[in-house]
Amino acid sequence: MSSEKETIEKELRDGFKNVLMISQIDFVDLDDELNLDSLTQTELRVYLEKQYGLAIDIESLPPTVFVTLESIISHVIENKAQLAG
Amino acid sequence: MTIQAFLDAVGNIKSVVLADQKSEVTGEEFLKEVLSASQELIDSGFKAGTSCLVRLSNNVASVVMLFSVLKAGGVVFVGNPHDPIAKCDGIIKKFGIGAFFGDKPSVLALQASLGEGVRVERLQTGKLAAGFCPHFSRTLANQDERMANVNIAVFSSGSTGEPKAILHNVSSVLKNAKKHADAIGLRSADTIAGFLPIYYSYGLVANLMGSLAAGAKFVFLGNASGLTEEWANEQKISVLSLTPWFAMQLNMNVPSLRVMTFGGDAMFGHIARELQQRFPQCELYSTYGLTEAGPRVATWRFDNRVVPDSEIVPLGEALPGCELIIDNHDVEGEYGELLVRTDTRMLGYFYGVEQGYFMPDWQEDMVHTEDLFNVVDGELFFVSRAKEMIVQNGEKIFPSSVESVLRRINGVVDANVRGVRCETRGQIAKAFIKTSIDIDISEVRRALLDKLPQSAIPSEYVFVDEIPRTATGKKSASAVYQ
Repeated sequence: MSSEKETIEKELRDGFKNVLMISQIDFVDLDDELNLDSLTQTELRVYLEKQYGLAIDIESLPPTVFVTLESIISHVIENKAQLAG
Repeated sequence: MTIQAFLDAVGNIKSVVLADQKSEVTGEEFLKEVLSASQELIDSGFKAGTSCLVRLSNNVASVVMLFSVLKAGGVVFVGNPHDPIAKCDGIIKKFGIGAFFGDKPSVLALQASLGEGVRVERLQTGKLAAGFCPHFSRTLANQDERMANVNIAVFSSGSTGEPKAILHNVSSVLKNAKKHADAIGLRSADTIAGFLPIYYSYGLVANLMGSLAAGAKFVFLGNASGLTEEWANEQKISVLSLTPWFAMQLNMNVPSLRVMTFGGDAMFGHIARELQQRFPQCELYSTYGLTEAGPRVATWRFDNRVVPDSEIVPLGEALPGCELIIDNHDVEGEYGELLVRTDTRMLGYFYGVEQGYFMPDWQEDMVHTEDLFNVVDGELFFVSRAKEMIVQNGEKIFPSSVESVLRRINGVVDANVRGVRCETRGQIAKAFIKTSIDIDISEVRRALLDKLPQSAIPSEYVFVDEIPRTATGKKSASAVYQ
């Protein structure tokens, strides 16, 4: 695992636990389904915008992005790179 | 119908009865999986009568888990999979739960939260798990013999916010599901969209169990994707159930769609007319029910007929075995509480181990809905939730009527009217309004006065960014406006 991925995973787990108040995140494997309701998905989008400066348009966001921790990490890495570029 | 007879009937179906993004099962395969999982539970020492918190997500594995717990003799307390772990921890202790089921991370988190003495086992593919906490277990039958026949309980927060469990026997619930399936003419060839959450009684009983009773195919919409025209066409959806509010967000062309049902919130006349325009090929049903009644009570079919010139559509016909009675007429005799006599009534309320069991002093088979209706030309029309009725300056205001007019004002997207305390005038009506364009309050008042008497319009108006709604699109009773 790259260190960037590890860092983002840790930050995301902290965010889930302390901002979104989802305490079971400690037991979620990277490929486990998160099963987030629509309100939590909205809160997560706001968190990602604040934490990483990502402007996420919910209409154009592929539905698969918020399915697992792995898919969220990939989305953050990809979009951070675009922002930097 | 017993759980065994129901499972046997589903087990005879050779076609697919349940599907989600990852899997699908025929009736035969479903029965096999349920029997295998329930045997697995029994082999692990699970005792019949144990109260079980089952966090029900919208997927095939959760349905198998639900029926396997019922088959093993467990009493299922239907859990919201999105509830925080701390809340589940509280529910387990308050209601004497002896086992809990859900996705693996939630079960492991609950194990950690509850402390020592909790044993966890993986189920099926390992994505679901069970936790056993015998030290908290208090079977319902041992607490009060009137709960001896209970095997399914649905939580309601009511007006206090404190969860109470509405108790049912699964045979009665399955009977209600079959009545609903018959009332809207479900067929084995139908494909039903699993859109509403199955942790609510309408989604669980009317949608899911109704589909299984009809031998139809029930397809879960994934949690991460919205209800789209593309998905509905890909799945060849023929039956769709929604709240009226959600239905108004849709404008899609799905040729296979033949039945739509609407429930969970008042169906306004102008929305019914709009839905007739949008879905001319569909049978359209406005439905009414409440968890205490089983849950389904009445259905009004409104395709190919003139929608009456009323704010809210009629209640319609009672399901077989149900009788609708208006009681407690007020002095003017204009409206009264709807009472429902039904053979699928709840067995009572359970407030937890300390507060115990409670059955209101209702006549046999009767449910007091706390919904006010009036009778016009032999049809019943919803007036208001009794608790929502606002008394302002001594005059009664019914929020649904006011909201109906507000929503028809050009530029108003959504509205909610509530009673609030006023230091000087006691209770007053306050309207929360979401608009898509700038609107002046005087315009709003003018539009209301055009349709309603002066005494029936709110005293205060607030423009808000959003009207909070629940997962199914119902107005959120606990919403706090910023």
